[in-house]
Amino acid sequence: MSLTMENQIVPEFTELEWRLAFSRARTPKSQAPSVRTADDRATPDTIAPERLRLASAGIKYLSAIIQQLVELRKEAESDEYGTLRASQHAFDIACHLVTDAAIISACDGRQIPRGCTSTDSQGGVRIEWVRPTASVHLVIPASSNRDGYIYHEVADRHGTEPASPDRLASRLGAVS
Amino acid sequence: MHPPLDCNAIVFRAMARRRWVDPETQQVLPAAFSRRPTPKDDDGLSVDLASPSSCAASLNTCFGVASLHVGRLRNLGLDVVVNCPPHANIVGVPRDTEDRDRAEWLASQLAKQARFIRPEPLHGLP
Repeated sequence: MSLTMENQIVPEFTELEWRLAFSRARTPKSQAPSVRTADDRATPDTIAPERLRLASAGIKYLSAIIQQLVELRKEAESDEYGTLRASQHAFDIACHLVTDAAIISACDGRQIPRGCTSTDSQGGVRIEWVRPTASVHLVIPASSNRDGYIYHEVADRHGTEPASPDRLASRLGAVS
Repeated sequence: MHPPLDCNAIVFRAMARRRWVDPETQQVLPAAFSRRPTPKDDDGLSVDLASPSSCAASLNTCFGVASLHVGRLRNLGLDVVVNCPPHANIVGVPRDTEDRDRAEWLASQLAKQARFIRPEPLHGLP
């Protein structure tokens, strides 16, 4: 039996919101190190179990994007074009931003849309949501020397802004 | 110095990465039109003038080819400069470190204009 608003003492959360919030709470936020402490070119072995569980949790479409990011982190180090494997920094920041954006979107009753991930030639991560009338690109450079940004385009209007979960969730609202 | 291409010419860009194409829609993604840091892509974005198969042959591993219409590139303020036929470069696309808004916008427009040619049929083309 569902509760009416008058009877609710605390806000009611969906299972998706609980799962996302729980996962986020168990995953330490990535801190951009001022000094590079690990070699990103090393074989990756630092994908947190929580992220792997999130990738296989079947949360539409967050899990698919996290799964793609995990695959990028496990790619061969390089190909003809450049670095193929996502750097630890780019992987961590991208996972954090997309997961938090999914939580914010869920609180507004929305899911994040299906997106496509890739790496640039230096191991930075790109996630692109491309539709006929609206597009969003999340761009995370390979190292903390440069800040990530969001490109957004709706019809003839477009712009870029620093990457944050709130901004990403807001811009993805225009992508169906 | 090579003469300028006709506006009705078609050029081909090799898909060096599998993830440059949306696997669900087969649409070329903006990631395929991002210039790499110097010294790579100093002359622009590489394209081939001859054919899809010629373009694909420029890479050991090619995940397909995107075709682009030169006239429509010029409508974006870009051009194609031939340097060593059949190789040419799309010029006018900034790096994201130079002008990230224009770089992303152009990548988005180029992706919308591009027509993806799957790698399988390329084997049967001249």
